[in-house]
Amino acid sequence: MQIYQNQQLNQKWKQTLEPRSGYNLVMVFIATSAIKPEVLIELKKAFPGAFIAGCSTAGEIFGSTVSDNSISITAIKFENSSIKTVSTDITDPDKCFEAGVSIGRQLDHENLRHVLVFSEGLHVNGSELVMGINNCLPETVLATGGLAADGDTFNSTYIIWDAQFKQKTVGAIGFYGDSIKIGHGSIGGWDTFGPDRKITRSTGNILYEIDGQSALQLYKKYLGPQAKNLPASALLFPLQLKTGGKSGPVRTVLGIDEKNQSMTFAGDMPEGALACLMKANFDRLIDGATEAARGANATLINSNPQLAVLISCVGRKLVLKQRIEEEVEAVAEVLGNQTKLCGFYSYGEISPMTANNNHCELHNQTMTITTFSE
Amino acid sequence: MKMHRLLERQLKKHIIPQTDSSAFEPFLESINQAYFQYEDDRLLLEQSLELTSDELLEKNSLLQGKLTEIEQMSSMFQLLFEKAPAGMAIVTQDDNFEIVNSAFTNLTGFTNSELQHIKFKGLSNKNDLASLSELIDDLLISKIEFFKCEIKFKQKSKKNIDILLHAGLLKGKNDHPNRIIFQLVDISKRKEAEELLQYHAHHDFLTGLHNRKCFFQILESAMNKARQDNNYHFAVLFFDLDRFKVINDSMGHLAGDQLLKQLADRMLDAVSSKDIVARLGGDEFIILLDNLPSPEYVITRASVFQLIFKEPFLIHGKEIYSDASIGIALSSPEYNTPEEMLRDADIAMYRAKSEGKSRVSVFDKKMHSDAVVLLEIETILRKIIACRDLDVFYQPIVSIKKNQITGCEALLRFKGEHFSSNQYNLETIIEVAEQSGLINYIGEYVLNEATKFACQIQNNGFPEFRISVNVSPQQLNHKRFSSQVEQILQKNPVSKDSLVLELTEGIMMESGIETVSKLNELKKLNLQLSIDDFGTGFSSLSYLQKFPIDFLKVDRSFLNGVPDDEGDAAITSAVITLGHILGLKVVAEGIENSVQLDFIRSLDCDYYQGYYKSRPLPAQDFLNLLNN
Repeated sequence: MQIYQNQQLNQKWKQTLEPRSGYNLVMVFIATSAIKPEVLIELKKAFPGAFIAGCSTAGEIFGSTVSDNSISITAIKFENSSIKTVSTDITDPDKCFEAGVSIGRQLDHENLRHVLVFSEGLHVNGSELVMGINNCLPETVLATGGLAADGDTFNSTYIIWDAQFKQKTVGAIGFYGDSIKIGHGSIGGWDTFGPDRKITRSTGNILYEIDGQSALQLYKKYLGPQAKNLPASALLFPLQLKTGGKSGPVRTVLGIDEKNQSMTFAGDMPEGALACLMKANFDRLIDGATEAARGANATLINSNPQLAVLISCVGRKLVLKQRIEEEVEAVAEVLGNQTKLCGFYSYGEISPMTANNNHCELHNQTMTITTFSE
Repeated sequence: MKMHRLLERQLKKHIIPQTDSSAFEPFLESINQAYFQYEDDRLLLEQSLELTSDELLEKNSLLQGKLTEIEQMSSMFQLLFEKAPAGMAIVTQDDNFEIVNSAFTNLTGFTNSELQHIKFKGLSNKNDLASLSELIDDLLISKIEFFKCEIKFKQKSKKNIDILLHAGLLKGKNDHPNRIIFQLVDISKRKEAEELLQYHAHHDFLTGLHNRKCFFQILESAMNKARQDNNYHFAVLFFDLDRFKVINDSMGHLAGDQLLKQLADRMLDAVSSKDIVARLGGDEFIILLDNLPSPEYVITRASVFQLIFKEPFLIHGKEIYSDASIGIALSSPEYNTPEEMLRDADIAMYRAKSEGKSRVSVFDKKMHSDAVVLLEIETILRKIIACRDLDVFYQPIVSIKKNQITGCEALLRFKGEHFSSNQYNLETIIEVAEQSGLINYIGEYVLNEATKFACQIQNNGFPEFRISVNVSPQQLNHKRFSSQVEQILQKNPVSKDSLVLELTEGIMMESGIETVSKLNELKKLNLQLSIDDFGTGFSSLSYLQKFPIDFLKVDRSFLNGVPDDEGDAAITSAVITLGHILGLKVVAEGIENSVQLDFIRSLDCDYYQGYYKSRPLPAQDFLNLLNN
């Protein structure tokens, strides 16, 4: 596997973008402020024949740095492996399960090793989408990936698919062949606090009431002066779901609706489930990233990762602020100098909950790492 | 750049004021931002802590309230549990008793410590165990939340009692099934009452024999068995007491009931254990003779039942004799329902009764067709009455001495085509009318029409004109007959002694004393009595003396052969002489020619009637004849 990386900062590429042939895939993570059609034309010329995929972000990871308003590209040339790409439109946010099924069905299952997903970040019920994909993939094949982001503004997200900017679209890259090895890890590192609260009114991923009270008002009360920055500031207090006495996924807010007093989350908020507010503990967040990297390393049996795609939650970035790079550095430290890092800050991460679990889910507030070697 | 106060102070303290800091500007800004961020984070955390603390305090006070509520509920539950009149028990998932109330220990007889070594299910009757276990299992897997059932429960004394059992699931943490609460109500008394009700629903209250409903069920299963087994034969015997009404009327209902009870006992003694004796109601009994070796054997068995009437019944210290007519229907694949078989036994019983008292008759198909005919006639009769298609014809009765019409006999006729082409003779029709009770209505109609007609004639120059009306035994036995005649006579006031009621000999034979008093009562209404068709029946001379009779009518059958047939002539002569000796007027019926008339005139017979004078005529034709 050959990897080429480059970064555009202040509209200037670090290295001059010269044509390079034989590359299979170019992953592009781009700030919405840097989106211009010319960028993709330029990349297409530079990597003839390569499939250009990626998404808009809330922060671009390039090596062990995290930037805003930049473009991070990673081109991959496989020696013995191949990819297949499929996509589907999300015409109705209530039909995300069907979109996931469509993705799973379009992929050729023979020799399929892994699926990397880039999805629309706002008009989507990520839980349903992942459930649909899971439903159609062979049991041994995992899916990882993330939801596109739009900084901390939550206005519009894009995915890059076949060198085009697209909205309300989900794309998936299937990796094939016996030589490719893929690992994964995903950890949050947030602490719950306060009482368990019961979700008393919700529809899908839209939450109305907790303990019979407006959920939006509860958030406003806790955020105090920061409530003016909703929905982004709600990322400071994710919700830990609990069902059947067990901890479930962590959920963060994608949007709010003052008129309906509702909050839209990245995944399902089932009625009757218990939810507990979470708060950041800086050290534990960074420890979480370390743990995620160890997990990704461990699942990549007998092989050192050549490339790691880091998909971390925008919520972590909002909390860690200037210290955000510490979590990327922590990952780099675990994976070693030989591993190239790329990735982005997302509105939702797709990964199995634990290393030994094949059941992929949508997460929030995690650092999710997918490692590749060939 | 707004500088954080701490950073500003630190800079003042540690950096020489005149130092050019422009080179450090981005660095300072970054530090400044970090200071502000940490402050924001601290504030957010402090606020969160405060809010959470408030929330937890609020939740705590709510929980305290709930705890008090639960404590109150708990003590209330304990009180209710302990003092409940029904037995209560809480049982673990392993079927062990956890706690029981006093009513439970009282009900079962086991002490608390004894119950520690007993399983709850162990107290159920083994017949109920499987279904009870299934219900409990369903409860424990939350398939159901509650159940109730009636089971037998073992007491310490080994006695089984009937229990109404209610059971509900008690849930523990996370709604997991935890224990079961049982409530046991002793329903033994209710069960006994139900069993008693059940007994009464199937047994005759007076005799304790099976009742109609129960008998039908048994009969139906016997019929099913016969359908499957050609060698299985049984018979239904229908009993009807011949003189029960007389005993009931003369000695009272209590005596009648005594008779029925004694009869039931005798019947039970006379049957085998497999046979079924039932009382249908009134004086009707039925016996199912089970498993007959052959159909013919039934006659042998029936004769045994006749013997049970041989000995008198001792009722209120008096010896009473009774008899029964027995109708028998034999099992046959042609019967579809118990009703059909019972109907045929009933038809056979009526045949037996019509053949004389104390008879046994086995049903055959002709009996059924006869019964069908009778039913048809009855239907036609009811239609005739409904359409008012009844009419009365009058046949003159002539005084031989005066050679003039002095009276007439009213005779029933039907208008229209109801009985087409003389399909049925009048005797049969009257017989049906008598059996069905329609005779009372018809008789009243004829009596009313006839007396009205007689009034008309008497008021038109024939003041002594006599009208004869036939009265059937059923009419006479009707308790309102006398008052009915009185009312008609008030409405149609014929002259004294001009109404003649014609009775058959049979009436006289029925029951002496009562008939005498009835006839005497009628005589008080200033009417006369006649014996119709004399000589054809029992012809007992003694009743002619006993009863207040005024006329004798010599039956037409004796006059057919006179004067040539010596026998007929002798009887006719004897009857006329006898009548005269007893002071009665004699009427000869069926006089069709002058030779017959000359013969009876030679014997000093008083009156005659017959075609020689006139056939029965419609009212107007009769008036024309009378006036000419």
